Amino acid sequence: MNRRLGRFGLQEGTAAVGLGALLSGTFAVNLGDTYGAGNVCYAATAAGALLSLLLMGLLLKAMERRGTGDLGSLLFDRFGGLLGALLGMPLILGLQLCAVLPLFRFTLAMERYIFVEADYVPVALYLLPVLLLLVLRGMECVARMAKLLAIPGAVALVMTLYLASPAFHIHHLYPLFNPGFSAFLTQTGEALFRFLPAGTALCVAGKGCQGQGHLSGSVRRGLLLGGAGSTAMQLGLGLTFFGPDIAGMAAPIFCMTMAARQERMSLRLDMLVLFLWLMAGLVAAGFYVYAAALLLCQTAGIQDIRPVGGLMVLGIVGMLLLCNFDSERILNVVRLVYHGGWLLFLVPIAGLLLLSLGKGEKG
Amino acid sequence: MRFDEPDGRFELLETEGGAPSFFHGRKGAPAPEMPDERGIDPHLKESRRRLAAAFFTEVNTDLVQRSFRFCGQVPALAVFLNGMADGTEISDFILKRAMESPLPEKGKGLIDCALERVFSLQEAEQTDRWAQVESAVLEGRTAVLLEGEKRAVLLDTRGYACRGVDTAQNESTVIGPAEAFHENLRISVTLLRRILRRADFVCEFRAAGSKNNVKLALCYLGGVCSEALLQEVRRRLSKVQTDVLLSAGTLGQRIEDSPLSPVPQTLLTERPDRAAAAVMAGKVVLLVEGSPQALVLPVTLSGLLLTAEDSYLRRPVGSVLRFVRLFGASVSVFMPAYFLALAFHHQGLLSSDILSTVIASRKLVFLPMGAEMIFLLLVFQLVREAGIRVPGAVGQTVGIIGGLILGQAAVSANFVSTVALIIVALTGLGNFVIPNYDLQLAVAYYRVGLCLLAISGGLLGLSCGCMAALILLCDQKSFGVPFLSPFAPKTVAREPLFYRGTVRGHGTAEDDMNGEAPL
Repeated sequence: MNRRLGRFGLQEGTAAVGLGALLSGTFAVNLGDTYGAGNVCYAATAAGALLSLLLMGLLLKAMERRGTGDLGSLLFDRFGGLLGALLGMPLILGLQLCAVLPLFRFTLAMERYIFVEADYVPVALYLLPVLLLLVLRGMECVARMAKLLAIPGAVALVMTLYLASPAFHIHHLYPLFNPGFSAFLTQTGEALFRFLPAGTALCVAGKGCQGQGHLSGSVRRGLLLGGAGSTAMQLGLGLTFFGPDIAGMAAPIFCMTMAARQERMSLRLDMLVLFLWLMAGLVAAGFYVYAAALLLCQTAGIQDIRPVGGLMVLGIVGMLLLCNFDSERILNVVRLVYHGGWLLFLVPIAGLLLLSLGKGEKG
Repeated sequence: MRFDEPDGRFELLETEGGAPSFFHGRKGAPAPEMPDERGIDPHLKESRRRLAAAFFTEVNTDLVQRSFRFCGQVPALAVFLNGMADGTEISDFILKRAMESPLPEKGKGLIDCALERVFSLQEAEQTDRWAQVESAVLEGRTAVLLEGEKRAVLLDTRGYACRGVDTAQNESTVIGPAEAFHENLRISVTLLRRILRRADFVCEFRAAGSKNNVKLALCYLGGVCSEALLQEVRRRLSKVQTDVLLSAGTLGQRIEDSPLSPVPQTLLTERPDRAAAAVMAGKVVLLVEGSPQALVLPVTLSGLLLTAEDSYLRRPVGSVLRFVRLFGASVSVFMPAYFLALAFHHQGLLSSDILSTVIASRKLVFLPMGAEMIFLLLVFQLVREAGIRVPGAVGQTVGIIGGLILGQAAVSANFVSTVALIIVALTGLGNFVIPNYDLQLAVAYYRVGLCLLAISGGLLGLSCGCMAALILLCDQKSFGVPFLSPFAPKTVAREPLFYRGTVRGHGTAEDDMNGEAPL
């Protein structure tokens, strides 16, 4: 068996989940639909993170109760081979999409604001070797990279908010809950798609974690930290721009830092911060892709993860390139994913919870 | 090789087994040479014939075969290498005593008698293996063979000329001991023992696995050093088969995890205090005969960035020095690439003042900026290599000529710009701050690679290059210990990377060594 799982501890696991949640929560947002009629995203993000925390807590409880070390085993244990594999498919698809969406945003921001004369394709192709290398090296390497880049990720978050802070105005949030409470509930559901994957990905690689306690601790702390970070970012965005203004932007986080652009220490820190985000985003994408590949290996009984991971990375880059070539059709698909993506995770997880936490013998 | 077959990569931190090579399996290990199982022939004539065959005694006059009569009666042969053995000891304590001693009473073996009553040397042993006789003679010991005996006596008469204990040349410090290891294995072990006066300090002497019969000492603290680590080191040492082994550095390459990685996976040090500190931390130290350096393993990146002086200085001062060192190392790796990325792709990131200075300095320079930087980096390596190879004071002169005169002339001739020259000079200074020579060279590889990526992709290329380098370092292990520990993964360390730890913490073995017991 060669699934490149390795071993990782509490800090590495927390960093992986935290970075994944932070990047998804901040960058995997459908701007047009979320901000078009107003802004409740900062509140929905916080609610979504807390709801994800609750769901992941129950899932971890179910894994503990059934005595399974990872999500794939739990699927197999509860649904059997065929149904388990079928229910694993939406999770794999969801994890892949979570890897693509932030990278798509980064590539777009690079092409539009950094490399003005460059094409989209060469910029996107720069990411391929790094992502491939990361996924092929396995979860141990991903977790260590997450641990290493957790501090630059936190620096990027603080710097972004600090650089944008002169442009913060409380009236940008007015009126509060503008699209209404139903919009808040809908966006909370959509926010699940941004936070559940990070916890799910670590549960998929659960056997690599040093003990069930560390696995639970990593997921909880990571979701809490990632949720808090992305809520802060969404709040910062809301304080900088009016909701409808954000809806028309390609890279609102980058625009946020430019809103209060100043030359500090002879350097454009706003542009430098984008590269810190990119590095953190690559690790988060690697985490999701590895988890997707591992889940496929677990459910399909594939022994070697490297061909699967390699193909998935190629698929990710293919999807990134496709986003450029057929943008209208892709945007429609992306919109659909944003609206229904959370169901990809919620349905299998809810099924697992029902079957695992109900009455019956313990594993 | 199947995909699902583990390759059994050694993992000290109990990680899952590593992976086999993707496209091809590992090459099979070369078949081990059959050891010489011959016993000692009771006839001296046959022994002489064997010596003649092994040592080419017809032309090789170094080998001395001194015939004499043991106790005045039994034909005997003393064999030793001229120059390797001490002639006075052989005359006074072997030949003279053997000829003058009375023949033992019946029932008492000649060999036992020789060991107990005749030879008055401090180290003496008997053997019945012919290979051991040859090996002992090659080391400078004297073998005494007796007619009719199937055993031989090996006597320690090593007495070749060697230099005295010198000061450390490449790891000099302002504070702390100045002694350096010695080519003589015994002296090196003694230097370690003088620091580690502990009963549990173990030195295992063994053959290094080379045809030139070099010996090595495996030094560790029994009960503190991880047994798994020891077994793995012994296993790797047992696999070493080479024609010639001249230094500890060669041995390190034979037993390291990733031969293709530019980053060192063992630490070569010439300082006994540094090696002793490593032993105290639960690491293994290898001393090789003929090599004035010790091989410390496993190592981590933070270990390679430390100096012996760190712990001799007080904590605040030591921490600041360490910060300066890390800053210098970062400048050395990133500065040229960062400058190229900004100059080529992100001029907007520079303030107008800096940008105008750069443009003014490049006004008449005909080389493109990327070529200029790569050229200067190569020239820097050239000057450095020349300075090292040229002996003594002339080497320093080469550095001064290269650094000052050549640089000034190159700027005057509009060959390079002053800004590029300053950046390369700062890079060079930062490079020399890195305390490990192997790591300095590894950093040069990364520097040039990052420069090329920065030229092609600006900060995006630089970010991707840094990520790729970090991924490779994250995945690298030195004898099962992750290379980036104690930071990733988090382990308890006596010496954290970014600041000097307390001296109180020096009483425990390091966490990532998986030591058997606390000190």
